[in-house]
Amino acid sequence: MKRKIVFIKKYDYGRGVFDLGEYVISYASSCHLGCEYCYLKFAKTPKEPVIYENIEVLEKELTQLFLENKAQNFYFNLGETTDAFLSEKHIETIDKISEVISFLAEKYDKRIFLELRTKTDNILKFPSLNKRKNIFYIYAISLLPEEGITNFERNTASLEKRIESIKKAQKLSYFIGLRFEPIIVYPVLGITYEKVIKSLKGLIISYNKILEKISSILDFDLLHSISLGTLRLTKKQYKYLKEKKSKLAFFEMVLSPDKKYRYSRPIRVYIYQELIKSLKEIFGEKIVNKIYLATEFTYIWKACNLPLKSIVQLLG
Amino acid sequence: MIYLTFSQRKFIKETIEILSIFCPEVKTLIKEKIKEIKKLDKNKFQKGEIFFSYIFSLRYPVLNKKLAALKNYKVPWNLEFDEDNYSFKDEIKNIINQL
Repeated sequence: MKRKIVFIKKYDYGRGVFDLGEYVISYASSCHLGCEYCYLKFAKTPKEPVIYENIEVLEKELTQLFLENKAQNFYFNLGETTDAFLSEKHIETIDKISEVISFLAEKYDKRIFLELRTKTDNILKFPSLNKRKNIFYIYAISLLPEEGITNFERNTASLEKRIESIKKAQKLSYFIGLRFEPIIVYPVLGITYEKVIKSLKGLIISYNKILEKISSILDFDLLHSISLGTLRLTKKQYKYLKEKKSKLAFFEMVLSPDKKYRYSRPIRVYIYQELIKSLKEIFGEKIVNKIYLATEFTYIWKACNLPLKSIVQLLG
Repeated sequence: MIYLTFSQRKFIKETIEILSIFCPEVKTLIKEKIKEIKKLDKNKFQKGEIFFSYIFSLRYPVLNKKLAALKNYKVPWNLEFDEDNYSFKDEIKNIINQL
């Protein structure tokens, strides 16, 4: 299938959200993993996964982007409109795209970071990407407690398999991006203030267990970045999930300035602060330079004492 | 009689739907509260305010506590704002950024 609209778009963060400076390459659309919170169900995308063949158009867009932009470093997300490791064909296409990007990057003296975001463990069985000049692959694995995976990401890899997949990515010398997105308040133990606090404390304990497991296998030199981002839903999604009686439709969610439902500010800040604290305890103070908040407002970064930085500043 | 505006009624309906997902007994709880409020020696508007506040506290248990602590400050109810734009930022920082 041919893509009829542009391939490259600056990520649309929404009103007031801190701009991380990443671009999205839509070389494929849709996904069959069926995550309950996925925005793709509500987007104008084909129902079945498709991969676009007209890469020559992408080449033109890249040339224009590199010519018009003086920046040397570019960060392209290849897992926004689909899962980067959804099928072997996806990886073959990414390899073809990498070849094009590498050629242009060398020509225009650019350094390119390609984020391969996934919820699968397909890296364990798919062929690896060819190493290319001026290209840095970031294996961005989405992580959340097993309970969350079982309930909301039914067709994806287990937490254990995802952690296993990090080892393979490291063997291939990819940089690692730990993506704690979406952070879901689950299980919810009740509706009272006390029960909500207890649920949040339980959530942090679950994440700390993940962090401990990861710290035992992670090659810190290959760690590119760690993102933290709590669940956010469009109005349509929130309504849909409420009607479906999904536990994702948490009661203490408010409409934020970008018109997305998020957990209320004290809840979000608590989650971020606690996870940042745990990350510092495990990896040391310097880890702060690798942590960013995904689609959050500047005032939330400040509340978490996190220095504002774009994703291209995290050079691995 | 408890008087509620149209938007309050809409909010209450939505809140009951959402809370029922996490606590099936919530409807019984609310019915009991209604009985309790009806017995109060207040007019229908005051009763409406009491009932709405009760529902709000059920829907937003954390925010509700924060808003009580912030009652002397004029800030957006959802706390989605940059405190640096307010002259009393130091006084509210800890309230809005902690549980």
